[in-house]
Amino acid sequence: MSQETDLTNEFKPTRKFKIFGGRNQILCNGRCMTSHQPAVLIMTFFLLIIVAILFFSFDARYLAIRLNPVIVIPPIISIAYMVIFLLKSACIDPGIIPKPMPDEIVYFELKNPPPPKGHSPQWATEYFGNEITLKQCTTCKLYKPPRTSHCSTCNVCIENFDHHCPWVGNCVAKRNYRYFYLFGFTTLFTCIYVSGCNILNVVLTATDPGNGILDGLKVAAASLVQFAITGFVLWSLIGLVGYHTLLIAQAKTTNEAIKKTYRNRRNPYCHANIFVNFCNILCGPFFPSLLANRKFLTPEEFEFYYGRGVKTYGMQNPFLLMMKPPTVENLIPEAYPRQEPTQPVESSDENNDTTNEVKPLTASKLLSSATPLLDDTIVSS
Amino acid sequence: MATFNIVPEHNKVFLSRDYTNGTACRFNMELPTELRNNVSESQFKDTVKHINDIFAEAERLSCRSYMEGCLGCLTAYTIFLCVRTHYEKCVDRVALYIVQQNKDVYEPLGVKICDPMERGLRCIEIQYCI
Repeated sequence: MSQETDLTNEFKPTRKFKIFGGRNQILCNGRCMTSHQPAVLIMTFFLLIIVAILFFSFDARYLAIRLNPVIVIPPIISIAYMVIFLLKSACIDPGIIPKPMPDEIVYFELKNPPPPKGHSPQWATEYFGNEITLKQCTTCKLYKPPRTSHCSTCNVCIENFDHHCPWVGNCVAKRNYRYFYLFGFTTLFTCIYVSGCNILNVVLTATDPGNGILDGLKVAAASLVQFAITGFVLWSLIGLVGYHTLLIAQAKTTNEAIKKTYRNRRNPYCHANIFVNFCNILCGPFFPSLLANRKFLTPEEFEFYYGRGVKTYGMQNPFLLMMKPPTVENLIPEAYPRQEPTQPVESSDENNDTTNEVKPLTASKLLSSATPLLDDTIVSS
Repeated sequence: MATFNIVPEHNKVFLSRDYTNGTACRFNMELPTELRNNVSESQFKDTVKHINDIFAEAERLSCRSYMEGCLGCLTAYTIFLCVRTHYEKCVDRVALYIVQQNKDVYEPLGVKICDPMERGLRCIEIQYCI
């Protein structure tokens, strides 16, 4: 029934997250997002909760009575921060660049010189005084800005891409890097504190008059469980947090460190003062999400994603649509002649580049000529 | 048969991003050739420069942004549920500035500038009549 009502093709208010092309799941009517595989995130959360419950019901209670109630305050704060940082890094948009509409794709593809055969379109631009070429992402069809990378797990291009973290179940990038780092940092602190309390608990129980080491271990069985979990997490975390501290000090992303981008040149984002680098990343500006998930589609966009012609093309699924966006080659065949040119070319050179012929045409003229062609393509197929 | 039109009733040009000073949000200040007949170069440059300045202010690393970051961290980022961030305010200012400029300058010339947030800060869409 719902399919039938969809086919009426009438404009109805639709939020923008419905046409989001990535694999992330968008929850709460566009308010937050998670990975398409949230299992590991749930496990991370579960481990955190188990350790917290065990700690507060056994060790903290014992130590608060035996030593001082103040001993309970730091883990309460750090565990609360951990939960918030984990949710923040897992459930917000990491810095996704929304996929462009076909008019924009076509405009920039025509504006830039045609790429060599077999290459994706490129855009030569200046970047800190150097000439660089921005390559077009084959999936998203946008010219990837510097430091941007396409995440194959999420199927979107992400600004300041660091890495895709399976534990958090989200990409770590421009918008959630600080939460990710602070999550690691508070987890490290909590692990050290909790395992310290575990050892203290066992030692204090064992040294009670009339108790031996065995009694201590027997009474503090819960401490052993916590110690096993925190100890396992601690060893992997020390390396991770240490590595990220080093990267922040050098103002690099993990992606750049792996690719060794700054092997031959200076990192333009790196300040001489390490402290400034830390401030920039941990206390810098809060970038807004570019997705505008809660906004509504304009009638024009609605027509494009849910229109009748689009239906017949078999593209009603926005995900499918994003996998195969229309390209200049499909829309305007004369702009990219693949076979022999239709006009006879009088030229002595056999291998002359026919694609240069279309350059003098202005983009707007080609765009207006593209309209009937697009109609034909969509309706006929 | 209703289908999506690349060119609805107006023609469009897109103002690309300028990466000369890094990934900070800046737009190209050159007047697109398509708009030569409608808009004067200096007028257009002023408008885009003003937009760039607002974005530069939003992304500036100053005491103010550090204070905002620290305050957010101390309140576990719950403060941003009730207070808008500096960047969001700047984005609103850009939108307001563009609306004003359209009304005062560009619409009489047959040109309309769109809010860059609508295109995810990838480019600024400009519609014009021939």
